[in-house]
This record gives sequence, C-alpha cells and structure tokens, in this order.
Amino acid sequence: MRKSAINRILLALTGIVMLGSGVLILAGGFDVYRRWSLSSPDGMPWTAPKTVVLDDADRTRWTDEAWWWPVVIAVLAVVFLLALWWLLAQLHRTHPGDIRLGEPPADGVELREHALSDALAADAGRQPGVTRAQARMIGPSRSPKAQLDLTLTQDSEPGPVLRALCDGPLTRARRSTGHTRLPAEARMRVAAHKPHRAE
Amino acid sequence: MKTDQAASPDPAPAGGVPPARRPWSARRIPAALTALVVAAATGALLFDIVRVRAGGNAAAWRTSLAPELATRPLDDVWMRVGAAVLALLGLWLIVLALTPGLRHQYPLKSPDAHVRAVLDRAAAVLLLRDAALRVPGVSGARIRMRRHRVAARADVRFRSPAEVRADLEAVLREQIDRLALADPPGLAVRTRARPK
Repeated sequence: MRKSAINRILLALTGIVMLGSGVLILAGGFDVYRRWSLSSPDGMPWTAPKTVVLDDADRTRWTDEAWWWPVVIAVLAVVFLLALWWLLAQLHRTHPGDIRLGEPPADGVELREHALSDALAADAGRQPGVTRAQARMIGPSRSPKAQLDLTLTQDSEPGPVLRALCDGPLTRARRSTGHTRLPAEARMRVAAHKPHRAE
Repeated sequence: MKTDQAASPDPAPAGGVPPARRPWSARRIPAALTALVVAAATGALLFDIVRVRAGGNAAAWRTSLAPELATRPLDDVWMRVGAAVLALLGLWLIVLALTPGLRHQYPLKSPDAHVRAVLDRAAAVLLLRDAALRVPGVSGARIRMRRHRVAARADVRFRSPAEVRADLEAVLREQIDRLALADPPGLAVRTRARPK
C-alpha cells in the first residue's frame, strides 16, 4: 500500500481517538447529558461533571490478577513497536537502487540509480528556460519513477518547458533504459528576484 | 517541502491524457510527529511498568499523574482546557488525513499521461508580478494567489487607473494561460493611483 494511504489512515485513527476522548470529557465536564436530557448508554465513561478521568478503583481493578501485567506490557510493547516502525518509515524513502535495463528487463544489465538521475538532471538543466535541475529516482526497482526539481528562468513559460522536458530528456531516458513508460513528477519553481519595471 | 512530496500515483491509463489530479501529500511530517509522541508515551510507560515489576520504584511523573487523574473532576478548568486541546488536536489530525495538502503546488496540464508536473505558488506569483510590471503605468504590483483565485493590486503612476486596469486584466489573463495550470484560477484586479 502507498505510504500516503497508511499515514492518512493512522493519522485519522489517532485523530478519532483524541477527538472522541476530548469531546466525551468536555461533554461530561459541562454536564451536557443532564442539560440536554440526553441518555448516555450504559458503561459510557465521563458522564457527570464531578466524576474523574481515572479513579483509583478503576486503575487498580485488575492489578491483582495474574494476567493483568503481562497483558498491559504486551499491549504497550506492540503499540510502542508499531509507533517506532511508523516513525522509521517516514525517515526513509524507497529507492530503486539498480535499474534493470531493457523491455523485458534483461538479466545482468543494470544501471545505477544515480547514473540515470544524474544524466536526467544534466539533460533537463540544458533545456531552454531551465536554470537548474535536480533529479532523483524513487519507487521500487521494478517500477522506478523520476522526480525532477526544476528552477525556471524569469521569462520562462511552464507549459512549453514541460513539453520540452517530456519530448527531450524524459524520452531519451525512456529510450535508453527501455522503461518506455518511466513515470515522472516535476516540480517547477522560479528563483526569487527583484521586480524590474519595463520603461 | 521536498519531504512532503506526493506519493506515487496510480499508473495512468495508456493513451489519452488524463485530467491532471492534485498531488496528495504523503503527510510525512505529521505522521512522524504523531508516531514520535505515541512511541515516547508508550515507551516511557512501558519502561516504568517493567521497572516497577522488577522491584524498582515508580517514576515521579507516574506517582503524581495517577492522583491528578483520580482527583480532578471533569469540570475542573484544567481538565476542560486539556480536553479541548486534545479534541482540537484530534480534529486537526483528521483534517490532515482527509485533505490533499500541498496547497502551494499547482498542477500543470501535462502532455504525457505518465508525467505529472506542478508549479510552486511562489513561482506563479513571481511570473504574474513580472507580467503586471510590464504594463505601462504600473509602478508596483502585489499578487496574492490562492487555489482558485489570483488577486492583483497595482499602483498606477501614470495613465488613468481604469485604462491600466483593463490592460492589467488582459495581460494577467494571458499570463495565467501561459502558466498552463490544469485548473486556471480566477482573477481580480484592483488599481489605485499613486503618482510620484
């Protein structure tokens, strides 16, 4: 699954838990149930303003049971490891490493990822309207994807620059690697400059 | 931000250019922060529980947190503030999860189904500002750009503001077309006379 989807699902779950408990505590604190004569379902916590979040009786209810601490420790350990995995997943990005050449990919003929991204960046940087280009390859080895960062000149037009990029550097990269559909993402910017008026 | 680049899109169908979709942020930074907070909280609690099970003493934060949770009623002002903050943070995480983000990146019309391109807002603003300053009579221009709207304000040094305004509108519209945005924004132009 895509990293974006996983991140968003986990963020939404965390958000729902936080929003839910916050709203329940607020509702209890402002005595919403009694004021609006709502009936709270059985077992719903935090329904009256004078109750507390976690009283001693609740906190120690099962502490004498033999299974309690192992279960608590196991659950905490699982949540801790999941959170750690989630954190580490943000820090690293999948790179194709070596890209197999040819269509279908030939065995033993591989191009280093940086060789392709460097060539792509150099080629894109020579296009008219582009002052600086950076490129890198992302995605798994079997379906690499190019990511380009272009700085355009002040008088450039993004449309033609993009067309030239597709027709020139990308087409050449596709032809030379055999990945005929090598997908690409380009991000264009313009270096900040002082306004100068036409006289 | 580079680290927030959109994750890979589904492969576009071959042949025919699909409508450019907005890039969706991978939400790496909020995810990393949330993961860090959850890992720190569960890690600290886990460490302390294991230490107490092994015969040690509970940490100070635990021995002071438990009576706080057990004595402060829900209508205590700090409980209300804490609950409100918790709810707002949760709402914010839900909003982050459901919205595309990358509001400052404008998708471009792409000639190739497998190529997606975006133009930074700052770049679009610079190109529009330069175009505005090329209109005779304009001595200064400020461009504000949101997702679907460009607002331009220009100071007019000579010529009548109405004429300059008409020229500006035409020039900016043309420049917006030149940006080749997939979803061209609307335009609002204001001028004011400021002779020097």
